Amino acid sequence: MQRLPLSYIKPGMKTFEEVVDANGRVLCGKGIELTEEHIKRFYELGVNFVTVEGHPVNLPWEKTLEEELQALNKRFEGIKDPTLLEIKKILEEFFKEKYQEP
Amino acid sequence: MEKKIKKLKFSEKLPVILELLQKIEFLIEDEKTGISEIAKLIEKDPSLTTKFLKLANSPFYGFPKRITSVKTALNFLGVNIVKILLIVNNFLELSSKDDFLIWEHLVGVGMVSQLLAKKLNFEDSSTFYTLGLVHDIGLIVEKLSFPEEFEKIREKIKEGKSLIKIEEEFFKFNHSELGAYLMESWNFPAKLVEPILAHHDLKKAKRYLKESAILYLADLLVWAKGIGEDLLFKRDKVDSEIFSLLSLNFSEIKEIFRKMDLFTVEIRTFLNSVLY
Repeated sequence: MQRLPLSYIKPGMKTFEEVVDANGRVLCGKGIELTEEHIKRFYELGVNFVTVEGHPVNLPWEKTLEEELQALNKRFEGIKDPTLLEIKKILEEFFKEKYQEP
Repeated sequence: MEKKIKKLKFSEKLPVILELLQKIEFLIEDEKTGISEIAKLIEKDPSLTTKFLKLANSPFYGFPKRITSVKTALNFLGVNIVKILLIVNNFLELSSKDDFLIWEHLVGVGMVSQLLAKKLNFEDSSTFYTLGLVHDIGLIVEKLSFPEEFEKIREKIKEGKSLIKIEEEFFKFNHSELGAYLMESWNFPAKLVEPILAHHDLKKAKRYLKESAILYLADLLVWAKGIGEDLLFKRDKVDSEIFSLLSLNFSEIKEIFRKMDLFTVEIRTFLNSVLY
């Protein structure tokens, strides 16, 4: 799943969760393939973000798995605290799962 | 410590906000005034009002409806949160795009604090988002008031030294103490001061241990995930009680990382709309 600003949303992308407007009204259910009409309506009703299935867009600051793991190792360089090392392990698992997603 | 902080001339950077906060205090003390009076006072400044409403509509408060007036914000958020947002706004105005990563850290810690507070069934989870925004206020004041020293501190962090130790060498106090001192001087209740004081050292928490633990862990997780990298300094140890204190298991922590990852785009978009 990926949360994207409305400007990145294209017809054919599938919603991962309900889309709601600024007043909490549900505009579109989950698992729906978005059309031009949906997107036009989102603009009119002030929707800013939509969560869609998969990972359709590479945002400018997003790293590759290798880069993420490299940066993670650098952050935790020399750390011996067992709790911190557990947190590092959770992050490694998280990144590996994230990049396995279709 | 207090005496040393008092000698600082940081207040010269904050004249506008101090005056406004003082006026709000007067209104609160006068029992006859309601929130309408406070709202009117803030609305006297249209540019401040616009910026304030942007902050009150920050994506992570998660209100079902858009907040369109200062009065509604006061109703939903309460006077203390509104006061903090005015302070945060003041610091945003003193910041520039160069400070993006510092703010990314602050908003990130706010978002994660709120997630943790919701998970632990705290009713006022929006308070925790706000605490996140303001938790490093001591660091921002150091940067604004002592730019030269702050650059030296940054250099030393790159050498791998602990921020707290370097601050104590330079100033004889650290940013948690300075932040708590400032919050206290602005008449915030202990519930909002103590977590700031204890966000790198839980032993300093007395009455609000869980609240402090939430901020402490949020700060740590945001660092671990690599959000707001510029402000990073090495965390060498962590309170081993932290997970049991908040009854969190590792799969719940992973879920928090997943949410942080999902919402990074929202943090960045929000910051691009408030930082110039």
